[in-house]
Amino acid sequence: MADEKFEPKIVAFTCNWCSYAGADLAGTSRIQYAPNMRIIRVMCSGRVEPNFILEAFQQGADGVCVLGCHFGDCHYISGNYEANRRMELLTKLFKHMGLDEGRIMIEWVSASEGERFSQVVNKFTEQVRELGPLPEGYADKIALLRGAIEGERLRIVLGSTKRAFDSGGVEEEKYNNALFDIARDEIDRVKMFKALDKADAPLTVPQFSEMTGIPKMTIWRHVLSMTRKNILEAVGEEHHYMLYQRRAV
Amino acid sequence: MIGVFICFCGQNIGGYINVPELTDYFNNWRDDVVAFNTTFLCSEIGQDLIKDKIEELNLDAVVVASCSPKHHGGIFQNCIGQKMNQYRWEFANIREQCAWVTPNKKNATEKAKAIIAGAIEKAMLMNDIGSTRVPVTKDVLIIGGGIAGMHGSLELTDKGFHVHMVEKKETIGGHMVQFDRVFPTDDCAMCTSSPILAEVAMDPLIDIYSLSEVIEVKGRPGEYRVTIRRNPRYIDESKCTACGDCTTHCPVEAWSEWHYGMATRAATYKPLAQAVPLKNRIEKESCIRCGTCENVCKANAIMYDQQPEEFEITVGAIMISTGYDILDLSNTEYHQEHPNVISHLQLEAIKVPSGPTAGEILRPSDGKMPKHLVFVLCAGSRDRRHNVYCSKVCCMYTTKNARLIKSEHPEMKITICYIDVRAAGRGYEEYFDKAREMGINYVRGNVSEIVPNGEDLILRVEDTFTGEPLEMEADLVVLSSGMIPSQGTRDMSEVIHVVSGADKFLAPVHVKIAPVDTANTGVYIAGTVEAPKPIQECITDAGLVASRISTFLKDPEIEIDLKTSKINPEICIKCGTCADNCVYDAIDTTGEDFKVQDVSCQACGKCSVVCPTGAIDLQLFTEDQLIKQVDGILAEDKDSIIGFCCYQCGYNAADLAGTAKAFIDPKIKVVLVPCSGRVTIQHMLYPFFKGAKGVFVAACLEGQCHYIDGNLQAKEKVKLAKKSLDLMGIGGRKLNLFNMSSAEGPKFVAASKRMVEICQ
Repeated sequence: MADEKFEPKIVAFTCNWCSYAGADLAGTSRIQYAPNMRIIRVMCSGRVEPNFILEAFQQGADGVCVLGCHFGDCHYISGNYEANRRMELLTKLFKHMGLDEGRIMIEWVSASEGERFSQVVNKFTEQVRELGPLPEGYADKIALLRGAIEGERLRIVLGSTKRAFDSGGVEEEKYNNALFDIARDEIDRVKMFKALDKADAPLTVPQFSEMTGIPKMTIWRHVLSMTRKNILEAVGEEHHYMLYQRRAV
Repeated sequence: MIGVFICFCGQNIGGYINVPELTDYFNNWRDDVVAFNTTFLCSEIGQDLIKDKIEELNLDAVVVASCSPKHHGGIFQNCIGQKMNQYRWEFANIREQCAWVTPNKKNATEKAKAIIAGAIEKAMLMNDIGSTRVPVTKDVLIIGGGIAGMHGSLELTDKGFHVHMVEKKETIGGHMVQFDRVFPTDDCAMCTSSPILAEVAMDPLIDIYSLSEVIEVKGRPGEYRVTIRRNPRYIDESKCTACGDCTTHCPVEAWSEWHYGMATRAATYKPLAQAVPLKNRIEKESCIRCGTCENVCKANAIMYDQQPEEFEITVGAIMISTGYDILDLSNTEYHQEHPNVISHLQLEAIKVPSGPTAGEILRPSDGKMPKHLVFVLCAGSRDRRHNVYCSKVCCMYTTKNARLIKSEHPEMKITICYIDVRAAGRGYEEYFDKAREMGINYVRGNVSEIVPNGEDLILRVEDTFTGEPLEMEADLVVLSSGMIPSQGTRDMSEVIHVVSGADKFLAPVHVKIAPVDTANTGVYIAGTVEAPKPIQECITDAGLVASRISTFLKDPEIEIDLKTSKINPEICIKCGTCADNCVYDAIDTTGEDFKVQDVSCQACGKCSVVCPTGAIDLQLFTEDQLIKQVDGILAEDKDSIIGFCCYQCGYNAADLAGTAKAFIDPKIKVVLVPCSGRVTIQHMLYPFFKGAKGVFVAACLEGQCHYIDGNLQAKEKVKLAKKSLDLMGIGGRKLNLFNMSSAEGPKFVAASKRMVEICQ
């Protein structure tokens, strides 16, 4: 087994106009490339939600890449910029969660770049192969990330990037920092919900902290915000701490 | 013909000065001078004597040789005013500044001669001073919409005035609406203040400018032109219904400034349910322009591109009620940077029923309900390292919070560390007694240090009853932090030039008898802008200001005596130096000739000192009058040391030295000036040319000049004049400036002594 070469499963989201055509060109030109790649055609790289990528991992992918048009060439003007921004955030979140950021990639391949397509695919396949199969605990982390990313708060901010930048009213760095902060918050909160589910009982701040590994002060900030937003409620007291549970919707 | 009237003041003057000799002396002094004396010049008999003689001898001016003009000046002015112009007189202060400070009767009599001679010379130059009338606007500006501002505005609209209220925050209400309850009644603060908020909001005579600042005040009393900057709310006030949909969907979470960081908020919010105006705002620093609020707002009220807006209003009078802040004690021995060391304002933010924990006391590090809660009184107060003054209200609000928490959580241990408990006020002592009965532990000892110990804290205190050093552990520490003037209050001393004290709170004209008036006519102060004080005193202040303003603006015009500066257009070269030096903006440089706006002019005379051509001069305390007064004194006694004393401080201090019967060398002769800034270099040098032994200027303490910077200008001039005296070989050391407050008689005595030593 040890000598057997690991063959990763790779999912590539390719845009209809450039990279999918680039893959076709590689085929017509009979250019060989690694067979690990499973291509999913999308109309635009901007269509790819971070969720799709996480779903791919949950369905058994070892690496996921997004391939789109070069900057300035997007058939829909700015879809590739949006895709890039989401990938940047996802990369940061992979790092934050302790996941290999080498398992995700975004690249640009035009319709005339058959050769380049094969190089990009080969290189990424090799990179994922070196990382090996998904390690233990990966699935849980991916699930956490997915929980956070599917929440309204993060979806709003993620979906509003173009509008925010086009308004000229916010600096890109400030927005990206806010995006990352919100994502981290949401990951924490998914952890807290999981802890509540696991305990199947209301929890105190120290109990939350114990079960999630998040510092108590951070937990307290989440509690303050989530009680304000009627997501959590205090239902009692235990050893000088209030007990909190999810509020029934 | 000048009439000199000398008062015995019973034995007060008669016992120290030979009054009959003095009278004879001036009767034979010059043909155009006659002298009289009487036992009490201020009595009806005395006043009748003055009035009869004015009529009988057709006097041109009167010299009253008696007590300090600060005592009976008004009486004599009124008495003389019945027969001729009320300014055609001059006083000679032979009681406080002669009789009472000169032990030897002969010396005292000689000194009195010099003082009276100076007064006669000045009186010779006294002119009629008329008055003028200027129209006033009946609108009033109130800066700061806290409890004082709100109460003042309602009092004023009840009297029919139109009020413009400028508030820096997004809602009016001030600190009071952030409190849980108020002492000594334990009334719910919001229940007592929300009817006032609502009344202000609904009053058709009040215009509220929220998120706004006063950035410039020009014009004159009765007609101030005020520039207001309205900062953007980023929400159209006319459309917003405060439904809160934007807040619900806003993805941003930031620490709430309104709750002093004890709660979180969205980027669009309203700070409290009863906000006035009841509108949301977008806080720009935290907003990321995602556009969600714009999407969900059914009223189309979101205005991301709103810009600051400046506009001008005209008002007759101004009330400043910009309130207080508290000391930030982070990175001090109190370690407020530790999450579980909080200020009392933060505790109130937690404790209000509408707060982040629905009123439960849960500490910031982990939401724990404390087992041992320690209150630290005098945190940064009565302490040379922070505030030297007492913040007055801390003992009571701390007792209040301790009582309220103890009654809800009898099991919680509550300790209050104090230096001494100041519980003076209606029902206060009883309130404090009850707190001790409830089992709240009062430890008499100033907390010397708070040491962080993980999430908990260790306090080092010396119990001054037992003398034992104590160490106590606490899981939440509340600092009763000292009060300081708010940024708004500090800004006002720049924008309106209201004098502030060393503590930077705005100063009233007189702390006891004119507690809400400022040196600027038509500008009044109310509430904690003046000093730390409880809510009821803020309300008392505001009521008094409303009364003062309604008196000031009661007629369509106000009358002003023209003892102000005046410009002679024939020699004025329109250089504008006077206008640059006038902090009251009293010089109108817009017309063909430059003119003094009499209603703004405070008659300090700093302008005449800087005028290169001598075109501008005060109409009272003229250049010539001061020179002639010096002439008169030195002609009688050329060994004199001339002391130019400012009306606000130096002269008062000289009077106080007299009241204390201190010894002052008879060489010292005081010449009254309105402000030390009125004294020119010529005034400083001239006495030396006439033989004087020395010259000094007695001015207010630095930073406390009644006219902002007169004493600082005097300081520069004294420096220059000293150099000139050195060059002339007279010796600059014989000219000095002394700073003293009006209460510092001993400082005047010391200054006099020093001058005599130097000028031997």
